[in-house]
Amino acid sequence: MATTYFSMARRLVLPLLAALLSAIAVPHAFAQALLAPIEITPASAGPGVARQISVRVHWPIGCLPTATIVGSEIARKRTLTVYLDDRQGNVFNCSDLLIPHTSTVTYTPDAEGDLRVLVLTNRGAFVGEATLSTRAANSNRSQFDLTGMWFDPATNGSGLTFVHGATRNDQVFGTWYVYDAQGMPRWYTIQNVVWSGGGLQAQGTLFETRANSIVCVPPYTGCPVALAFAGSAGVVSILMQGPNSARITAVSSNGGATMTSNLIRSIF
Amino acid sequence: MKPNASGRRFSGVAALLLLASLAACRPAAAQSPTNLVLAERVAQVTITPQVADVGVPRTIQIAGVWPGCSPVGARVIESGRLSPTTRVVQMILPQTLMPCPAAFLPYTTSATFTPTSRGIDRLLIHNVDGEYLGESLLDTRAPDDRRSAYNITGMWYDPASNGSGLTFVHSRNAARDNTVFGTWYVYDSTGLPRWYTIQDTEWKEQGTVLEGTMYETRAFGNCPIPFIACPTAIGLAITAGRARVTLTGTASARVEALSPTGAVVFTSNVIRAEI
Repeated sequence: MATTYFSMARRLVLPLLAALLSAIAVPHAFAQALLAPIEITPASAGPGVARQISVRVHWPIGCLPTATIVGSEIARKRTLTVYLDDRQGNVFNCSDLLIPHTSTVTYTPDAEGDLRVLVLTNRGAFVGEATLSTRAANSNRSQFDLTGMWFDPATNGSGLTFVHGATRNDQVFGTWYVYDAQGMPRWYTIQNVVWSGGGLQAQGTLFETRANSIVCVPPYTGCPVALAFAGSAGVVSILMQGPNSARITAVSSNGGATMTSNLIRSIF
Repeated sequence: MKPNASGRRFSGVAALLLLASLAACRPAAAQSPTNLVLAERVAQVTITPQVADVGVPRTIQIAGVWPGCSPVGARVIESGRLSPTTRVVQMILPQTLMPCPAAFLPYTTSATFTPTSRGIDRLLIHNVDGEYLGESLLDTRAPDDRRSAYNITGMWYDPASNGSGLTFVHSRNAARDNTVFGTWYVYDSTGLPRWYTIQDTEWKEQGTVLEGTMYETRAFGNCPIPFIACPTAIGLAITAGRARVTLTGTASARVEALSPTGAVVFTSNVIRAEI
């Protein structure tokens, strides 16, 4: 008897339902051409706030998917993978007819930063991606990405390069190209950078490095060699004045000397 | 130069420069055996040939470590994807009733894929249970296309000469001709830091080789003691030679300093330092 009812449902109810839904359904070809829109609610929030990740897809009627977060805890620190799993759809067989469907899953980030969200089907097909941004209201995370080349027009020929994990751990590694009293090009590194002032100020350590003496083959007077010594030369403060301008100040370790550059980003 | 620390895939430069800060940046769990966490199972992806035209089979090799029974293969998922430029490569795990070892084991597996259209495809490497393991770019182009294969902006270093390194800033905008500005941080014969710039660059070999001029500059800094060097306007620029960067992947390259006659003077096998 149960089999008979089920058969009737398949033969009568399902086609009727399909016809009713056809007005809002879309053909496969159209759906295939679009990435699935992903909405994160609330769009921005601090750590500890539950976020809803909604994926809007067109999916075959009868086997609508459930969204689940997969992967190990450690993998989720960088990339959150959401599976659209339709294996529970066992009441009706999947139809060729696609209907709009929104699958939602909740995730609560525990740290500030940007987390990439990848959405896949349980069969491994890529559906879409988004960025889950977590920033507390009183956050000191950087407001700008420093990555790139910077220089002071007053001392053009010197400059800095920064590599900045702005969307991740907010760490900065800087290199400052300068000259000594003998005219030789020297460099410092800037590390241990900590942001403050609502993400507009940063302070780090200025390091001076040395290598053991080495014979470099002419015509080069310098060559790659492993580091032998690193010592702090002072403290560096960076004050962001906008996305492309900043003031950098280095104070020597004994506090007796200061050097400053008014930087602009080199855009080419 | 090398990156400061933080994160797992961490360049050793920071380890040498800042042991104290490194300890502060590492997960606390790493410092305590009682709170040990496993590292992320990041996969290294190598595509051979790195760049080729349509119709050329490409081998996607994936390597890493795996707990228990290691992957026995990988497959490129073609059906059902919504993006024309992103594909998922799914690892295949062995189906066995035999117990798997508990230890992490190194593995290498591969999949073959033959592109049918030109462009840059992104490959996302995922475990069968959906865990993200890594990604790479599959570059398919005409033999005479010399656009850069990758954006090389960032810090690069050779683990063998950790403490030296390069920084590249790369404008990969087609309208700006893929301009690259490089800086190579090295040391002189007395062990003092010295830097060169790499400019006037040109891409070759289907965008996998970059060549440019190595400049050495001079300026006399009147620096406040105790700073040994300070920002100063350039006084002189000298052509030291040429630099050649041969990309071997999205995060690895061979950088050679050439003499004016074209001979290789020194080489660094660099990897991209991630922050």
